[in-house]
Amino acid sequence: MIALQGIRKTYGKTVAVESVTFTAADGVVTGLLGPNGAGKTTALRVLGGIVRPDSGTAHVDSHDVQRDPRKARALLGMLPESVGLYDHLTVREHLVYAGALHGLHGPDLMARAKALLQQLGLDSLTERRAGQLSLGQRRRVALARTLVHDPPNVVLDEPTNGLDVLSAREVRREIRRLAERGCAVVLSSHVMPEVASVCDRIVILSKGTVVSEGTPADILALASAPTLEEAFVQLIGTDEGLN
Amino acid sequence: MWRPITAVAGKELREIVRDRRSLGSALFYAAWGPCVMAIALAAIARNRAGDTSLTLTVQGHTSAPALMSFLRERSVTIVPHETAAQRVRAHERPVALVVAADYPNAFEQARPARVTVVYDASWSESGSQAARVRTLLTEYGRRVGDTRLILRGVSPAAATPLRVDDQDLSTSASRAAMALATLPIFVLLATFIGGMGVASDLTAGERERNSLEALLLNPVSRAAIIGGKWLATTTVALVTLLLTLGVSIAVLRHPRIQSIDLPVGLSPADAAAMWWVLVPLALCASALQVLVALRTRSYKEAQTQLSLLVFLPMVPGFLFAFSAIAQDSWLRWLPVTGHQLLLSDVLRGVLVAGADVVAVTVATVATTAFALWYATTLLGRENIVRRTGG
Repeated sequence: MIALQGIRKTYGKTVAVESVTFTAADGVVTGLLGPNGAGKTTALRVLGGIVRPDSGTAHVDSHDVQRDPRKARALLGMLPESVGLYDHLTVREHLVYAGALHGLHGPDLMARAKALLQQLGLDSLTERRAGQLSLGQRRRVALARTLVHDPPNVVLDEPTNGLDVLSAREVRREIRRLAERGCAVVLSSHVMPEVASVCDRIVILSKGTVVSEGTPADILALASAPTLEEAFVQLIGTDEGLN
Repeated sequence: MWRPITAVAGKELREIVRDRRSLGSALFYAAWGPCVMAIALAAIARNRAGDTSLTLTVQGHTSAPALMSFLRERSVTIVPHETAAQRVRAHERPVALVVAADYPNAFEQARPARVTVVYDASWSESGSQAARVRTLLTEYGRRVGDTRLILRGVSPAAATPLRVDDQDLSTSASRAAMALATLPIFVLLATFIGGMGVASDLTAGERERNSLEALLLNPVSRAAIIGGKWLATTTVALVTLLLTLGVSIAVLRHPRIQSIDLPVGLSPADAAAMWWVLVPLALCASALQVLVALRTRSYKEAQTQLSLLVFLPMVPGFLFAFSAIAQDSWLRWLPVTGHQLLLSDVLRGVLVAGADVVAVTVATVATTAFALWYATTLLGRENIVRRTGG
């Protein structure tokens, strides 16, 4: 389970997020929806322990991210918006490196890496260096790296950004599989159809605050809108920043 | 703690080895420094014959037989040539002597007989040989003048109120020692230059490639991440140092360099001693480089600032060379200055004081620890990851 409680973060005089509270339960895909600059990335960086909030708490399962960052991170798999691969490492080496940083090693790590690569359709690229991969392949490698330690909580920041239709579809399938296995998944996106098709619950952020939260049906009902996109525009009061 | 450090260091080293262009740049220095020294030593070896003999192209030699005999007595080989000046102009000979056509008449009438030393001042070998010729001609002129005064019943001493003699005690060996004095500077620089590119790539480069955020999301301490990057940088610095010393030994063992009777040498045992003396400095230099690169905003800025850091080991060398600072004992306890003085001791075969080694090592380790602690603190700051997204 992932929980943010009353998170406030400012950069100088700019308020990035204000009193952000939401919970992502196990076995559920929670969509974090908002236009550019809504505070999604800041909220996720608080979760990952990269950014220290001015107030409020973030928990991964029972671990406070600020007080117990290493245990919280051990239970979290987080895919940042920028994949950040190493051009001179092969696909397999990326997974082995990430696994080693999570304390995995030996045959277990190798078996886990092999299974993940197969699952994400990367088994034919195992020994290829990241610098030789397409954008879609790089993003899938980054996703595999995020999942190498089989985390019970997963945070994905724009995971289908830049992917072609087929690759995006495969990533969305994988997100659903994670939830079916009992993972708490937070999916940050501003792609409405993606959120509508994958998420069980939706948290809408605008100008750093949570403006609405509920199931997709709740959101539609609240806004009396026929589509999620319409509902979203009504709830945030603008269509600026939408794809 | 050790497992994540070795995981980070192992990954970094794997990347470094595969990025051949960056690795090549780092290791190029290892050969470059000693090769510059070798060129200087080879030039000294080439000029060595000049210490005792001189070949002089002479135009109009038949007009001055006594002068030619005098020069031959002084180990000068006379090469007659009718267009001697042109040979110098064409850089075929460094120096030539032109005896004027009226030389015999002037000499006979005890008037100043004209000879011209032809040389090219922009050519260092030409300038030095011309100086030797001029000295010999002055000596010959004084001797002839003294004889003429004696024949006229005048004591030559009365016409010479002041007699200045030059006595150049330099030998090819002592000049070689000057060239060899650059070795400690090259070796010191190796500890800084070796890891320079690596440090900037592993810190500022990692941030610029957006891989730092993904790294920080792993359940490892910031200290372990810094430790791994420092270990990788230090490894490259030590390999560069090892190669620099290896190439230096090879250079100094070359038969041409060996022909100079060098007052100091570099045996494998000396090189090993120098390597051990410099291991703490390599650790310190790498820690400082990781810290400096981490503080910068971009890879480009990191490279600029690390280039400035490379000047640090050159400063004491210049100050010592120009005697701007005395080699006081407290300088032996500071990193860089202390290491340079220790290296000079090793090279000169002077017994290195154990207390100096301990003092400089303690100071260097303390500086390293501070740099690593500060770098770890920096990595814990949230602005270390570039602000992006919403």
